[in-house]
Amino acid sequence: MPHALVLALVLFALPLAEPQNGPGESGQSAGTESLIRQATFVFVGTVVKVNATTMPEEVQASESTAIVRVDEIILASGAPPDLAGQEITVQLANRGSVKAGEQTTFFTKGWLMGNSLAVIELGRPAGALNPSQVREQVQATHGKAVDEALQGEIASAEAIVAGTVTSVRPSSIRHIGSEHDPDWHEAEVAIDSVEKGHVAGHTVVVLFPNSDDVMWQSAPKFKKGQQGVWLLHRSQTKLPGIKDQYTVLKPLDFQDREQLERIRALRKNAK
Amino acid sequence: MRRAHFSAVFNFLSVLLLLGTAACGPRVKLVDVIPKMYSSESHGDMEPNLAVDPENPRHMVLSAFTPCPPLISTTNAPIYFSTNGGETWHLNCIVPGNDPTFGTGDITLRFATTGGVLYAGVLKGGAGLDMNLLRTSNFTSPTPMTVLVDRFPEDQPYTQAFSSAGDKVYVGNNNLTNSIFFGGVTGKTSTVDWSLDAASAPPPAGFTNNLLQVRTTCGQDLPSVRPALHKSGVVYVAFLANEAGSPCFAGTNTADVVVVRDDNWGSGGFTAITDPVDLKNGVRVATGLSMTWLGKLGHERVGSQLSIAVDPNDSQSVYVAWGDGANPANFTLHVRNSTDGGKTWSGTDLKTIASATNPALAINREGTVGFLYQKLVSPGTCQGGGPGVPCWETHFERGKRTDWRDLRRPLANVPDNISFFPLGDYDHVLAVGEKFYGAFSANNYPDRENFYHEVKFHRYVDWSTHKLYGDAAHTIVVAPSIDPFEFSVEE
Repeated sequence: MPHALVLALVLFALPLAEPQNGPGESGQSAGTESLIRQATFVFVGTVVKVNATTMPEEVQASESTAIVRVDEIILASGAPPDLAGQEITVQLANRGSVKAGEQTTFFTKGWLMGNSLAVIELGRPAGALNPSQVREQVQATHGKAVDEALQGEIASAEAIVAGTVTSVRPSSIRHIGSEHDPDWHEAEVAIDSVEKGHVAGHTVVVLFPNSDDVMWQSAPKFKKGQQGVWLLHRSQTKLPGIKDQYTVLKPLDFQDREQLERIRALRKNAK
Repeated sequence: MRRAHFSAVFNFLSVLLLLGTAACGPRVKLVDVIPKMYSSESHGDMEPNLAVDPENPRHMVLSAFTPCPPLISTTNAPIYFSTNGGETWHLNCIVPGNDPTFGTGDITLRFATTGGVLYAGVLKGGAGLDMNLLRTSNFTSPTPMTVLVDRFPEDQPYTQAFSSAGDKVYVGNNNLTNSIFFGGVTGKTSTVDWSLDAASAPPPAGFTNNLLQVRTTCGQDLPSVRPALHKSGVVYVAFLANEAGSPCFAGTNTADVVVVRDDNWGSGGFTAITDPVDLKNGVRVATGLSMTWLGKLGHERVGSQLSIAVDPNDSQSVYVAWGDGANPANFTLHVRNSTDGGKTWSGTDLKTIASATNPALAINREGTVGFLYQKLVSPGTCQGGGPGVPCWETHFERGKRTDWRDLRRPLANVPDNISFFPLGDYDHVLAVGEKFYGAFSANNYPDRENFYHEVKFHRYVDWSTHKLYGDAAHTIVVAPSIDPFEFSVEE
């Protein structure tokens, strides 16, 4: 999965966080962080026309809509590659809040994508921020959100081990009568270190869905010799036959070996 | 004077030519629904379904395995919609749950016949076999669809709806709670959820879960359970009953095509027709059918293929189509019909298509049957796959009984060179008045020879160089992939 996509997924999936620091402590107002956490598209734009829309059949023009030219993209995971310079429709957080010719930073979430784009403004930050300040805050909030997502997985994991896959084999778990059968496979992992929890012995067996069905494509797949860090859970799914067995279903459940020190630091910080 | 006479003759001949052209063939529209702004995508947007609002056929909604662009949402999956009869299409991410690669699991959509409420049955994206039944009264709104039912474990929800003193909504599904693979006891899993007034009541909006299967199975039925509705209140449901002696998903299944009927929107418990041989509820249209289980026909998996349609002018005229064959390379589609409400069925096929999958049936108000299917031809005649490559031909035939006519060329004739299920487990066709509408997925390699005349792509394309682009300036090349197509056919 592209890194930007993971980033966006993590960011948007997170619940709105309470402000950790006051504006004076971090230089970032809580309001701005909240907007960034909700936003899927942050950009600097110039209002071309108020009471107008680029999608007249889908979005009715009103005092709450404006045509805005995208001048500079600050956050736009998976955006059309030529979005900058295009005119889009913004549904304003407050009607009549912009004037033609005005340039400002828009914190928005997406709405419609067709021949044009329609987005919904979430609000404006309390203080005046220039684009580079916004960009810094977006990066800072992103980093925080990514860490929080991994921290959440670390916290919910029953065990965390670093190691190497020594073998992969089909599991004896009965197949289900569905085109979405996970086709469970077992990866035996030789443990180098146990980072969390208690794992008996020098190896651990983890189950993963080997199926390439739509339901399981995003789940990590393992090969002999693969090294990494496994965040192990039980009862991740209600499917039959896997009770009390470790499964790896989500992309975050398996991390590259290089992430080990980061995982250790995140565990330490969480305590 | 002479010139005027010549001109009149010329005009007369021109009119005749135009009339002749119109009489020669139906009006066909074919659109790749990927929006222009999503031109950079190259997902496997397969297994499409289509809803057309009968009250306003310019309103159309299509689903496929498409993830929502993260620019829009990472928590809700998209629908494609059009408000101008399919001229332009948009994404609106309002289906709760979003897998980052495929958006949703199995999904089907339907408008009620009046009132414009849209219903969906979906395996929630990123949530395994968790089925949601959904509703929205405004498919262009950013508000996510309302979850009416949330149940695990389920498979292949297939939605139909009709308005008659309330929105009657039927969702065929394979209720795996009863499957022996899930710890169930009965092994009877073919089920329909229905509500007799689903439009506005709070969840569960009257939906109840109703078992259709009465026979002993090997432990679980096949996934396909398909309802068909008639304005009189006659409701048919077809399903694939997995026989007691079946290998039960161990490479193949031995199944019966069963049709049940109810004459009052389901209130009679679907007991209107009885099999003449075993005297049990539901008529077995065909028995002992060997069906590969997830074997590959080309790159496409096949195994559970079924469709049913009822004549809107004659509740007793019903057609069913299914696929069978132990060898996936010879997977074969069959069409049969009944003229007595499903009590008896044609003993032989009205239509047989070898090496094909994804049958879909609809009947228009003229009583003409529309039959959509996708056939693997090897070697094929499509462009873009290299010499000898097999090709998926998407056909749409119309007819009655044994009299069928195909379009002059396939809707799509595209290379089978993209691995991983290039079509999906179903496509769809429906009729509004005389007009047929449908949706299928196909390789989008841009060569006009691969599609019906005047196919329309919204995404950036250069037909002369056979290249797709992610931007208007044509600087970013995008690889061919699987796209959903919407089509309409009108005689």
